[in-house]
Amino acid sequence: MAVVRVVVGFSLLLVAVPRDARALPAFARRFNLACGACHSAVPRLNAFGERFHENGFKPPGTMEPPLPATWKEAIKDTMAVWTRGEFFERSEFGTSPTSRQGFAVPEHASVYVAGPLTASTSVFLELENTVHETDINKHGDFVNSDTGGAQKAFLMVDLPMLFGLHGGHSMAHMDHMTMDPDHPMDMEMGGMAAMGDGLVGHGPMVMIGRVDPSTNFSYPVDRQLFHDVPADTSEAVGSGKTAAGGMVLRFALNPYAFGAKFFGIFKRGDHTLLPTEPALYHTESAPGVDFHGRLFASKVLYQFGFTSDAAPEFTDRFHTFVPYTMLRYDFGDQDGLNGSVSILGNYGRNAYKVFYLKPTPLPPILPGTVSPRHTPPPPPGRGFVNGEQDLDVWREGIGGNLRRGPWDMYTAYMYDQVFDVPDRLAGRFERKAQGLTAEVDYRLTHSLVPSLRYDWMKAGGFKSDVIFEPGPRQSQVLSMQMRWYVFEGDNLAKVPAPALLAVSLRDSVNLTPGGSHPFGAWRNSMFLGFDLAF
Amino acid sequence: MRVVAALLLVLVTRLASADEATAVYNHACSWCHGQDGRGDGPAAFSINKYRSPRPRDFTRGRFKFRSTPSGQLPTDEDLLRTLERGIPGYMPSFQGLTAKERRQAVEALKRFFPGFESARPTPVTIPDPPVLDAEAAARGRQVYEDAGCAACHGDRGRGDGGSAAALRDDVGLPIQPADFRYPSRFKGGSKPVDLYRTLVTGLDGTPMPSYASAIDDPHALWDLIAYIRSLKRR
Repeated sequence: MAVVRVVVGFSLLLVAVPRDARALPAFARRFNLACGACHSAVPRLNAFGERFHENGFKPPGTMEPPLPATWKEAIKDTMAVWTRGEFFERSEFGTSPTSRQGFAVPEHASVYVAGPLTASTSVFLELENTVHETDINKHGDFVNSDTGGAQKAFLMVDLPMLFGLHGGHSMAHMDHMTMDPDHPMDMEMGGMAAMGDGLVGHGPMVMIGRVDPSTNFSYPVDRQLFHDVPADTSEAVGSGKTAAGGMVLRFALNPYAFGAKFFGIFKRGDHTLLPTEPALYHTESAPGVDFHGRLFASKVLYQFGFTSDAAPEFTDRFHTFVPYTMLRYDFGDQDGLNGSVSILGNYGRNAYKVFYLKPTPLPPILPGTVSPRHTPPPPPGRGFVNGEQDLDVWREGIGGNLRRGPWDMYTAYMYDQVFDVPDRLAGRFERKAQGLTAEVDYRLTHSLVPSLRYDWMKAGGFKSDVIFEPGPRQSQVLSMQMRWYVFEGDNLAKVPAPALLAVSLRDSVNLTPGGSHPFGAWRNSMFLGFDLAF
Repeated sequence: MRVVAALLLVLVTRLASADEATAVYNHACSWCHGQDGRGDGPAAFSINKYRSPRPRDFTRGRFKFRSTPSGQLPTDEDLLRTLERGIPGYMPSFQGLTAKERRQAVEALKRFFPGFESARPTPVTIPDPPVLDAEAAARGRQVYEDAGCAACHGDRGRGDGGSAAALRDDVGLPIQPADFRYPSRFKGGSKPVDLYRTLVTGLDGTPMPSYASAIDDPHALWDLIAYIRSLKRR
């Protein structure tokens, strides 16, 4: 809650400071644009927004960022606040509780500091408070907990610019720093090296820090019109547990394609990793280094790098190594039609961990011992483990998008395999899994965006274990949503308050119900949510 | 032989230059304006969805922001000004391109409308602005009423006049008159000379006409500008 207070405090400060400003989120303020210049529907980027991002948060083709002239400008043009989440939920289950509903205070809030610093270097920092990360507490119960701190935090560096390979651009910053915009200095700076139409296009750019590699994929994880809904950890059903301890009634409603897809696996550091939680390349932020750039008349975007999405323990990060490579082909530039296709290869060394039972030698019975050492039984329903094994994982997949006018279509398919599964688990652990997510959005009116998303997962991992009931390892979910952009930064004549405000009504339907397993126990979940940014 | 070689050199140089101009256009402009300049680039729709403005269709040869009389093509300086300033809310400033690249972008976009080859656009004369004080604003209020500005911009200049809801641009999209409380959002610029230019040239392709004939007294125009500026939200 302390983080929430800080966020609220920052928010009030930001509201108070830029009295005369175009009160749009930071990039929009800095470049004097409405949201629609870069977003087809916030947070979804359009083609211009993608190039803006790739160019280090500057308009495509440009090299020199407009730098803030004063501290006031620096604050309002680089900082933004975004809070979002669900404030009402009604869910129905096939088992007890059969239904429940309630209001909640959305506590997902982020403060951003972002923008170009110099011609070659940009910064992106996101401080986030979110809730309901699902983990297992010391009693062996599933619980949702608050987390916070630095989410994404990286520097993006244009390497050719840094090393002066852009032919004359190094002096160009004088252009905007010293002159009246009405009378531009007529300087011949030359230098189309970064924008050539030949083999070498843009970049390479390098991102260092807590990066989000999938932001360059055709279907980026962090730009979903459907909010990620946390797992429903509730009082255990029929196990005598109280509300203090929990079972998972419904996994998080995230895009299935990007999920971990395996039952009974853990991240390094013993943190649980539920099947629908984004993992590997699709983790929204992880320490790493990312290179990307463009080739072949800028039609092909290449990306490679590595992350270390492991545990909070710093030293553990050296243990996990997640290299990846991605190629994206962009097509279309006429009649508003455009799209891209991406292919991904992603390896995760020691990315997952599995605990299991293995034979333990009996303790020696020493002469004179009255009774053998006694081990207390494990808590009911939670099992007892005495073996653990790191698993490697390979992910390959394809994604694409197709956009034209009011239509936006996205899809991704991922196929995962794990390796080094202990022999002891032979026959009990499925080491292959698949996930598919497909979505269609349509801009019905200026402000209304109905969306439809389909998720399918054939999960791997433990076929039956002591944590989750035996049950289907496949799931299909259909989500429908109507999103109303009350303000999108483009109706400024009527709305002087600078803001993005979107309200969403969503219904997710379980197409594979049955049993008390988290894939099958829930039937339907309806949410009222909002996004507010300024 | 030397003459032929020289001509070839000139031709190659020109072609290389043309390619550079196209490259600049493709990398900086085509996302919204399209590779053929028809205003149908991949990001065009999302700029303002079902409302005006959408990205300009250069092939139609109609430009809003000009220093030339209504119906004429803009000068290179007009196009450069828009490129460098951007359009509040809808187009970023491309000041980050080099001066050479900005000129190349202008050269590239002019190729989409053949009329530029023979056009000799002549800017209107903008006299030096007088003192735009409260007295001028008071006189300007009368000009505002006489010229019928309130029909679109509203009695208090808030863009809510009786005709506002029915206004359409030249492609049939609803268009909103400027709200004079927020000069930083004036698409053609908010300085007195910018307003003068907008008033005498109009915004081609929109319902905003040229008032060069209707208000032929420059003093009356400056008074009107003083009044418009007085409506700024304090």
